[in-house]
Amino acid sequence: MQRALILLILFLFIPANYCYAETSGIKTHKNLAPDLYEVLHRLEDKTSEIRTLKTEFVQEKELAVFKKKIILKGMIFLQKPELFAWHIIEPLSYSMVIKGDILSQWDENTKKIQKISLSKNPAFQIAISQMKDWFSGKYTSMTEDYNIIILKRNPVSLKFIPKKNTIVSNVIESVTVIFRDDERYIHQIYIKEKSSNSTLLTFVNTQLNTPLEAAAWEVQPRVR
Amino acid sequence: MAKEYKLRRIGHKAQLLILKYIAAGLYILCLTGCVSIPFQKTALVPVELFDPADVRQQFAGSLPSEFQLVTTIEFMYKRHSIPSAIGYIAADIKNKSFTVVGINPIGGCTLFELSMEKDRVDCRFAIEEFTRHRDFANTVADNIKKAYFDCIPAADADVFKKKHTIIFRQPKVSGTMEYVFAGADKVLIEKNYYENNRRVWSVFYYEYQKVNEKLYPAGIIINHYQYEYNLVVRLLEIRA
Repeated sequence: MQRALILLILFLFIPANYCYAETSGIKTHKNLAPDLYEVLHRLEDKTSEIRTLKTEFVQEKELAVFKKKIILKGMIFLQKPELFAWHIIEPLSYSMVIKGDILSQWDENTKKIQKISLSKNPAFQIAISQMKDWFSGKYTSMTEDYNIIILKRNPVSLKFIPKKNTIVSNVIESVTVIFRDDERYIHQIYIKEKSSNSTLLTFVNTQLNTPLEAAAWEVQPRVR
Repeated sequence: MAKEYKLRRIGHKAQLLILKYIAAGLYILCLTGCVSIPFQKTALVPVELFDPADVRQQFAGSLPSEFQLVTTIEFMYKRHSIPSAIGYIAADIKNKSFTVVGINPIGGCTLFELSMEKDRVDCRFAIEEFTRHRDFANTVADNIKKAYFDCIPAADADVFKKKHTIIFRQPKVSGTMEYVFAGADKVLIEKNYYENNRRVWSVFYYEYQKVNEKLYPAGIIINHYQYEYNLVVRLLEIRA
């Protein structure tokens, strides 16, 4: 059961992973086409200036077998180096907050806070560490796991296609990331799954480098 | 002296009785996995004037034959809880078929997608961790069936009336299925399946909502006493 929980957490971060790319790029950028390297490097530069992030999001899930979309709304907070929160507000109340070593989650079904120590759960730690790196805004090493295609240059739109034999390739067909005009943050992420389902995440009212309220890091019911 | 001894004996018996009740309570708590009930229970009313045949028929008429629901699903196993998933269920009760999709609320990725048609389960997609369990698809399908199918007792089921509940019992597979109806609206509040006089699993229904003259429970809890798991299903949206 613990393994299932870990995998769910890992899985849960897969879509978030696409918001930002991995570190360094030294290993791979030599293999990149010069124009792709230039775009990734420029995006890395711009996002590396982010210290805090506060954004609303709309998550639209399209299921191949059903007509209507499932729409979730909420907020994401990030404060470097070690605070991250994902709060779903509508139509259900669910919160996940990572403070350093501790991942806390709360949902309205149980109304209980569940805490997981990352240091005591190495698999969780790896997932969180990866996620933090990606959210730190470094892109070039994504090329180890993904083939990246530039779909559009203004605004920048990139398509990430998981390479064969990666864990993600079992689940995800492709991820398209559309950046804002100023390229400092993502406007939309479109995840196409192997299951033929898809998710569109749209970030709205995004605030960068503004002071964040303490309540952002509390796992508690949010006002709907 | 004899009177005092007798009183002491009665006191001792009472203490034993209280202890037994406490032990029974703890046992029940353990059996149910100590799950707290996040829903309002149906308010009980005396049922002496209710005709069981009418109760059965009225409830049968109030259930939708086809529906699409968006729910949250929480799975608890031996005190471990897996974060809530979103469940999308489309069911056709008459044709005994349904499709269910489990979605991770964070990021929205599909966790599993399966369908059942005339008792044949087809798992279209499931993350690897789930597919490692051989019976994953059948277990999910089985729980959907428990929750949403077979909610009306047979016309020839045995009927027992208590002060606040009407209970229908009928043979099912290798055991007995029990349907408990209660409340002013005379709704199904509980289904219990017994084998060898032991309760194997139960489904509890809470907070019925009426949409287009059809009833939908806003909360469902499935307790499997044998396998020690609980499922809590909360209705988010009806797309009938």
